[in-house]
Amino acid sequence: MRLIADKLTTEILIERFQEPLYWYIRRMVVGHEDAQDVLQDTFIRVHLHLNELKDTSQIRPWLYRIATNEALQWLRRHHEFVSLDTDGASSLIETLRTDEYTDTTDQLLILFQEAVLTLPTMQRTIFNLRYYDELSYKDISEITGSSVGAAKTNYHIAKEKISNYILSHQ
Amino acid sequence: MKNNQHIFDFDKVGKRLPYNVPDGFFDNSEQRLKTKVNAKQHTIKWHYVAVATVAVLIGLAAVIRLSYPKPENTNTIVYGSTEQQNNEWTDFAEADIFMENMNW
Repeated sequence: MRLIADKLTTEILIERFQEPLYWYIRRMVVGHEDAQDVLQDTFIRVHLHLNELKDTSQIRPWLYRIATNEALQWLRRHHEFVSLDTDGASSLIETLRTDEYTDTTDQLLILFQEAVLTLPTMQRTIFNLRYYDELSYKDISEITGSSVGAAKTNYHIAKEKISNYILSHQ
Repeated sequence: MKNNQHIFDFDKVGKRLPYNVPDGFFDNSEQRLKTKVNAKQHTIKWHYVAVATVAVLIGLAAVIRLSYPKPENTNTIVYGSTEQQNNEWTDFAEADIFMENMNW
């Protein structure tokens, strides 16, 4: 009975969260096929560890933390050098320009994503979580392991860097 | 007065992305994910079965070994397991030969 309930819960999470998590992962790894792989790994891990989640009100940051870890692991495996305070921007930007499922007609959107990809990985993660997914700084701090204050600072610095990048490349 | 000329207007982009997905991707993705998750669950179950089977076999082997002790070797005295025992038999044999020769 418990197994059936767990199975249904994982299925419900897939139904409700596969789309927002896909886009979050896509913003991190850029390529569609890669995002699909990481999304799959994410939900497998969700299914394996779902019984460890005690507070269901925390399901959203919990899911995003798993997705973040899977995306970062993928980035470490597939790009030259990625750490939380540096970036592997060049290869990701290359993927941005060449991926089959990237629309290059709107150059401002391309430039914006390029600017985001030049951010250090931690800063980029925080920016994406706040700007696109509108998570609270508290949730972001739990997901990334940073303090709330550091998350706020990183977000504002990220916006400034993106602004400068776009203005200098237009 | 704040100079906005050096600040990018994020409203020009909003949350729009240059990324798209194949038609029907999310409809197919949902079923594909559920299938993958269930397949992974079955794989893990079979791993548990394999580990449990090996553990049972090891335990069974240990029980069998303890239940049937190694039989005692009755040829130990004749063939000897120590050098001292070997020398005792040799000395005895040599003594026997000399006793026979004394009857020439």
